Amino acid sequence: MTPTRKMVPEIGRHAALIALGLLTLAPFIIMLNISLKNDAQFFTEFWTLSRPIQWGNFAYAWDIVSRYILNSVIVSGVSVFGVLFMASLSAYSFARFRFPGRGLLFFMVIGLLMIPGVLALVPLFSLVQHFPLAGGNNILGQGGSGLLNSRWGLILPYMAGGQIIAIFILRNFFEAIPQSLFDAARVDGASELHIIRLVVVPLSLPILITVGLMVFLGTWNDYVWPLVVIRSPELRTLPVGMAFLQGEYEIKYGQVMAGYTIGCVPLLVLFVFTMKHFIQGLTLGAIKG
Amino acid sequence: MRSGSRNALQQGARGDRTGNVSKLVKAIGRNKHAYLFLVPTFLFLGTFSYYPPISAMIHAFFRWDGVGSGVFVGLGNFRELVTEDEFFIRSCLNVCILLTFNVLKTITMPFLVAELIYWLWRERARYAYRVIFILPMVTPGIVVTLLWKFIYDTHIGPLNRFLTGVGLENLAMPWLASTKIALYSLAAVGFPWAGGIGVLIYLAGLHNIPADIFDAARVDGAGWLRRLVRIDFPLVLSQVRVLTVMTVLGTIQGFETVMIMTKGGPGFSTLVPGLYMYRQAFQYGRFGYATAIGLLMFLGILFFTYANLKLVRSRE
Repeated sequence: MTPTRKMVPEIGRHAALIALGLLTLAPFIIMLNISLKNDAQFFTEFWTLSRPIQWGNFAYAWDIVSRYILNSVIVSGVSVFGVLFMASLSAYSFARFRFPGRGLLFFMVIGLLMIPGVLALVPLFSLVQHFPLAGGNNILGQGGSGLLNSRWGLILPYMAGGQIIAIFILRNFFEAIPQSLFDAARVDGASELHIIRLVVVPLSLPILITVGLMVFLGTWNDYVWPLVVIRSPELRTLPVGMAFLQGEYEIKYGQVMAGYTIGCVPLLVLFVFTMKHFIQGLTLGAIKG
Repeated sequence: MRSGSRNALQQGARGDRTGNVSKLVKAIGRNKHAYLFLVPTFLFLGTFSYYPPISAMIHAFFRWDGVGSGVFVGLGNFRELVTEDEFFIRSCLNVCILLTFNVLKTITMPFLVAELIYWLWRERARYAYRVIFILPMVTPGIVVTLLWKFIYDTHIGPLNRFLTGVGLENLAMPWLASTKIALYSLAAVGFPWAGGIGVLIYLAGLHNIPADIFDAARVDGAGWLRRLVRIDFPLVLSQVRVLTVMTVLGTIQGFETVMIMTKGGPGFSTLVPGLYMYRQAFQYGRFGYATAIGLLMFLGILFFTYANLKLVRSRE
């Protein structure tokens, strides 16, 4: 075989991949291009790069979108830490103790993976609305709005839902830590909480980051739950905020696209800094479905 | 280690009853930390993960507005849904059509892309393309949906602009505003359907195929198409199964794309059960009726997951 004969399929593969890649990224390229136009440029020079470039679109969009980003960072951030904290404790318990009821309790966690979110959506709303002693509710959950229209109405259910798969993954990982490390720590008189903090967490940092990113992505992209829970525009998370961008504000096409672009940045930054874990988290989150 | 603890319990069972109980109490006492560490998790799961689906399964048989316990109506909600509610029946047909397209989309194009990437010569190039095809996953899903809504826009959308620009103005259509094609426009979202998690999952599958299988194929003189059909695809069937289950679950449950792009319309031509459930609960306050829809969707998910497992396993 001559090198040229082998080159042809390789060039063909590159050509196909570049074509498919361009088509895949086309919506984003269009978004970036429009984000730099004013309305006149949008209507007359849709496909080409316009001069002068309208950087002001980004400043305008930032004033609106930055609040949503902050809200999402708070909601997703608190949820991630809550999940990691509680799931680590439980996973440690399931992985390193042999106690009566262990199998049953573990099954009670994992069994929840079979329950689809769509079955829980409506009663969860009712639960959050009638949550006792929250948002003006009495002990029976009547009289007020409960956790509706508050960040806790998002965070608390996220912390529950995120734990299920997290416990499953972390337990497998914690089980693989050599017993000798635990024995050594116990001989040194370390308490269980010390062991978790000084032995388990440092050794499990990569998997904790992966699980954390998985929970972060899931909550960051959630649209329907924040849509029904949050009423005040100033509490909206990023997806809801962006969906309402057009229509609620005096806003032009270029500014809308600039808003979408800004909305993409946080995940991109996270992706660049945690590429390997990010991809793992993405895959795990998708498979969990 | 797990069987060890079971042995200990079995030995306990052989002893007298009081000894058994006191052993259990001792075992519980010795492991008090283990139970303590589980308390926060079970408080949260009990409240937010167990209570709602159980409430759903009960209230599906009630007329319920979300407050109090409602009025028991037996199978009334289900009878109404299946026999009288043409919106619901239409929404089920719609979701089946979307399901067919989505499954085909996620198992074919990402496989092709993974194949193209896998056989590239240079590791650098493989890595670069992998990143390119992941990028859509790194943007919030809502942005992709909103961008496609814009792309389909009849008057200002890039798709009709493009068609008009290249002289195909008779192909320019009200993509989301026509009852005849809106559903198919939704099914086509994400064209060329090449990006996303499927590429990664298939690549991982291809990497798991032992190299000597490919060597053997080469020695036997199998061309690329033959190898693709006879070796590569059959050996990633477990990835196909994972992707199919994922897509089925996502399509039945996910209604935000429909909600944002067409709101189920025009008319109810793109209505899906999830969106219908959402409306029944949050627009009409029929929480019992909505949970009945949720329960039927749950059964649908169970059915499709089970069927998929059976189907793919029998082919292997």
